[in-house]
Amino acid sequence: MYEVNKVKISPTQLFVLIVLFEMGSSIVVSLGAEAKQDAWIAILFGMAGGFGLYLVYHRLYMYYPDLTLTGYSKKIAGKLVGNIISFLYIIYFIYIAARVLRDFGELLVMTSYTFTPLLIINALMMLVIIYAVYKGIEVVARTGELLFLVVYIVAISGFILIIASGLIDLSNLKPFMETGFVAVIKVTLTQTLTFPFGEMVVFAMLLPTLNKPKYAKKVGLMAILLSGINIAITMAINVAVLGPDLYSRAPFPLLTTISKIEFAEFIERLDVFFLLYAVIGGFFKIGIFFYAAVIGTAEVFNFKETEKLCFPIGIIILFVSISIAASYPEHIIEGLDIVPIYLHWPMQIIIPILLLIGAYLRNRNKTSA
Amino acid sequence: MLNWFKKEKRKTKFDKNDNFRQRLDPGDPKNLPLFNKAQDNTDYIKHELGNSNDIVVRQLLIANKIKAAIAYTDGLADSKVISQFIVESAHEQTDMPVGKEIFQVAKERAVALGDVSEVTNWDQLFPSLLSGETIIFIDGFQKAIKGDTRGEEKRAISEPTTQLSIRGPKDAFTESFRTNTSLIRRRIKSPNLWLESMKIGKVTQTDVGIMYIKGIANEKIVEEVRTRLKRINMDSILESGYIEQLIEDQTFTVFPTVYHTERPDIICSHLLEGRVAIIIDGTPFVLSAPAVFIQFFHAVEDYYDRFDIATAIRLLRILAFFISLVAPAIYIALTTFHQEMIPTTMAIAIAAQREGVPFPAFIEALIMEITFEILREAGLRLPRAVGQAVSIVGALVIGQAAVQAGLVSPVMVIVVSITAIANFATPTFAIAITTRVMRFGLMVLAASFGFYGILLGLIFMIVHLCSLRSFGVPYMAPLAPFIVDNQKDVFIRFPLWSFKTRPRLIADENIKRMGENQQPRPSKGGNKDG
Amino acid sequence: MVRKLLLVIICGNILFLGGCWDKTELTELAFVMAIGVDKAEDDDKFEFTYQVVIPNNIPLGQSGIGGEGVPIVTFTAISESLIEGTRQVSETFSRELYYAHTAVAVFGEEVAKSRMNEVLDLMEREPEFRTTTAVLIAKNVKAKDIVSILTPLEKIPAEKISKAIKVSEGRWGESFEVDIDEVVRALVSEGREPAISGITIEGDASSGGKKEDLEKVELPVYLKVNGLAIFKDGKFNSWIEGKKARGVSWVLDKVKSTVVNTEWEGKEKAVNLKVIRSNTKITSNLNNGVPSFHVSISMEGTISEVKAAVDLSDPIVLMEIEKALESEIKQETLDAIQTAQAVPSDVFGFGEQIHKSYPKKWKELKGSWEEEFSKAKVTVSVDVFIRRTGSRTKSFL
Repeated sequence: MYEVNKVKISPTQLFVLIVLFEMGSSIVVSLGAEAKQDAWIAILFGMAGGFGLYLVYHRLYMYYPDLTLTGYSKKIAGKLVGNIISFLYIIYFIYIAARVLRDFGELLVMTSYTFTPLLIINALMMLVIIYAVYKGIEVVARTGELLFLVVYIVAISGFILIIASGLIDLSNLKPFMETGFVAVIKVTLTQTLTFPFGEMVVFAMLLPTLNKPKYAKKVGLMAILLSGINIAITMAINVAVLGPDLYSRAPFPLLTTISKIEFAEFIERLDVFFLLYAVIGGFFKIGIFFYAAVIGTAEVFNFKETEKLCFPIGIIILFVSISIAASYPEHIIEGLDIVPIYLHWPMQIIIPILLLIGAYLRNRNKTSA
Repeated sequence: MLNWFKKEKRKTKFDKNDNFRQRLDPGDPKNLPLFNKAQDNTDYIKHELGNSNDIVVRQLLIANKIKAAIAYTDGLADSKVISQFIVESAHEQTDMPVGKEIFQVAKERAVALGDVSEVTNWDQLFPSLLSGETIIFIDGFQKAIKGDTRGEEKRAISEPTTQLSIRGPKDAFTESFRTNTSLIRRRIKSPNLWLESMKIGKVTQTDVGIMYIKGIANEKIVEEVRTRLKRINMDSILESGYIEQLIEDQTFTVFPTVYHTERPDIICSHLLEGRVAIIIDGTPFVLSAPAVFIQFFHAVEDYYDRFDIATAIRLLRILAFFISLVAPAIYIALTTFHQEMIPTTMAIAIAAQREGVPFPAFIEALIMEITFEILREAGLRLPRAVGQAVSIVGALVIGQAAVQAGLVSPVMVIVVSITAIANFATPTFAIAITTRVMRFGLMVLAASFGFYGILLGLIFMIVHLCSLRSFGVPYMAPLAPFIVDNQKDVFIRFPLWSFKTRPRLIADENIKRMGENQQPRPSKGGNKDG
Repeated sequence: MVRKLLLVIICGNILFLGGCWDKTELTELAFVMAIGVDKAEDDDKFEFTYQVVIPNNIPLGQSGIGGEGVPIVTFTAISESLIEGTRQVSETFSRELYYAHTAVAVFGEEVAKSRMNEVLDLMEREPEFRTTTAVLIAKNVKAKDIVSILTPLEKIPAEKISKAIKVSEGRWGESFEVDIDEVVRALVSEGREPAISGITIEGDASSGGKKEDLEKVELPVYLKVNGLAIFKDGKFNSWIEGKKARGVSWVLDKVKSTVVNTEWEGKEKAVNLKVIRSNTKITSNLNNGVPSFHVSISMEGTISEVKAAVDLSDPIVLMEIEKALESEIKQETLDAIQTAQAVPSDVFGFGEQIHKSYPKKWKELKGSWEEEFSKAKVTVSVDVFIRRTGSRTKSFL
């Protein structure tokens, strides 16, 4: 074979991965539900914050173009502290992957697989993800390119069907900014900034695999823009179809929206569209966190054969996903109240900014010395 | 008894010769020189080939004085050519010189054939003899003349039997290596069309040729094909399938990563895209590599018909692929997991039909699908006359009796038929058979997890497809990795004049395919009166 | 190699063992096509009636699989909740009740007056229920009778009901389809009350379940979509019928097509207009903190029937007809609004309108919205455009 030894992904592939990752689970749930009909504004604000965060990650990448997050944290903070940080990130990635997996499994159990054990649903999903990650990020990226087309074709046809069924009532989006600017900002900071945009921190692990580093900035920002707009539009459609009250009460508003499609007396009950989207979205979101955890572990523990880590870490994610919460409400409360403040903020925002300051100081010293 | 005596006698005769014993040892390298005497040589050939009576040995005199002998394989060599251009011509020689020049003169004059060369050892001699060439020994020389008299019985060029087309050439490859190369050369008259040949198979010594267009084909891929072919160290190559299985990138996959066809026009179009063709003697199927997934859905007529029609048909074919892949699985998922997704009237109709059926939907589907596969397999292997009977029995058993007996529901019959017909619409057999295998996997998944199972199965399939490579080229190219320029010939076939470039990952450097401004437009000075 | 094989075997086992948890064959399900909810004699309990389809008795295609017998069967359960009722029925029935294809849920007036939302909560929460199931109120009869009646043409009575509402909505505009979601949304919203179409039985209700009845040319008993049930504080209050009901439809912009008529030269209902397109816009205003509303209706139509000598080829006459029709419709609409204000019940969602346009003021108003609504000034303007006059211009009369 004459391919390069080191895995590389193209800017297009990175773009596709970011978009699928960002939209992964966020389109499925009622994002920014506390802002009611202004959820889409909160999402756009979150997106703006996401740009800022991505610039932080990108700056770090520019300082160390060959290193992942776990790699340069050692360089910046020293071996011991760096290793601790790296280790925290690995756990963070595993935990978030498990959370997404749980979200996803709950969705299926709640909607149509009432009697099937959560473990089995999750295990099946995890098997496919393990297989993909075992094959490497290149394969995941290529799969992404293919499924990106599928997702968009499905999304656009769904959009047309929703309009054709006459479901959209734009007046549901009024009154604009009812809860006030401060409330929307609060929702942004606690929810939409960290989920999904702050989760881009995982791409700090993936950026070194990009084959054309100079595109990293442009591609990343464009992808965040596209996914942010997509999520905002989806949520706006959800509110327009369901009304703000139902939107905030439905755990999976998109499912409710899709189930209302009735077109030409025959095209109806299209829940499988939603299932299709959820499976693809979940696949990439979990897959990317999982991959980051795998390469992070390989780096911290100097493991040469990365793919051999896939199976054990995959099993860990699977079991964590089952054991993190006893019931769905508990899982959601954790997700809304605890995770954003105590987990997302430090891992997505505080540590990267500290690392950036550290990198800046180190590099300044270097140049002056 | 008599034979035994003869054998014994010959053995003793060879025993007199110095080197003979050694040569008979098994495993002994045969690149030993020939004997001095023509008689000895022919005797040795007879002996080595176990006295096979299709090896014809004949003693003759050149110009009525020089002792010589010829040997050829009956059936592979053209006996008319031999009698006319070797035997007669040898007799008719009048003034033969003496001494060492005899050999040279005999080679140049006495043997009136096109392709004549010398052989000096047995290792060269046997393959030539066994591929239909005639060997001429002359007394007193430790070498022989080899003349090309190949004229084996071969099938005439006929219509293709596997990939038919309404429009397009009607010739197909045959079992003869030379015919096959000629069919390609006749279409591409470029000096850049190169043919490298080698013999593969320790026992069968099969001719294998690599054909590519120098300057268009990616050198790396050609080299890759060459090394993979050279690596093969097997006793036999009987069909292109042997080669295919030995050179493909990954064995554990249900997807074909090498393309095979019996249509020369397809091979030519592949060559012009920069692919490498592998021609194997003894089979009408020529391989082409690298192969990408989408290529298996392209029929040759796509390029002969106008683009709009070709596109519509191509999309139809891809739809048929999906139907044949998932139709029974979706039926199972809908009727056992997602009854809410069936429109009410249809749900009640299906429920009414299933009312008396004794099997669960999955078992019902499995029985019907397996029955159908058995029918198909039976029809395939049977003599044509009996094949008709099978299909009648099948149609009656499945279509009528089973439904009337209440064993299966009419809907199931419809599903199976649609699946089967959709499967027949796949243009290449290699991918059609893959679909058949995968269908059963998806049915099991659907029976266990409904749509969730089907979706995961399909994603698994896509991940697997994306992980495949064919001679280094990603199998899902140009979809993943996505190459914008090459989208003109994937799902939608753009007009021919817009195919400005060759597939990028396949033809590496020489990408440009045509001149500018190929789009046809009415001429400005044309007759506008009409 | 061996390890891979092992992995495959393990996965395969998970699959096969995993199957069947949620698997149900079509023949194990009883499709509930309609549910009737009545109040039981015992005060705390509901009386649920399930209309279950018998697939075998629905004739299919030409071969005539299935055939004789009644296409539906009904079961009644008296219980505190729908789930409990389902369980009770299962005890007497060999199949699992399946609600995904339920087309209509009919509530008796008594239930609608008291505890309808308890049942609706389950219907909304349970994923098996489609939220697109139509909701109806049984008028003057028990919901049970509605659900148990047989109908001609449509083999499944529930289908007949849901089609009847659709036709009524599409052709007459006096009633409209409301699904579970919309009812719940209106119940939850502070600035809107639900208005649900009524259904009733014409003829002798007790004989509805006989198949022989269907064989008569003139049906002795049949279902009829009729009237709108108006709710107050989430509870059924009163009926609005006939033209007033259409007035509600006009305001809610639910009219797709209908026929309006006006008197001409002293003759009643002399000119009929077939409305082919109609559109309603509501705007709200605050005058010194007092909300007022303006409903503007515009419609296009074709003259369909003329009973007097009218020269339809004269545009001036057409304009006069338009004027007459406009005032007719305006009156209809105002009547409807007044009836609602008298209750008071904001079925038009005027409160939501204020909420959307004046969110701050809404916070003050919403506590006493019913009162505000009854006092609100509502103006109506109607624009009628006659586009065509049918295939004759002048009437032969």
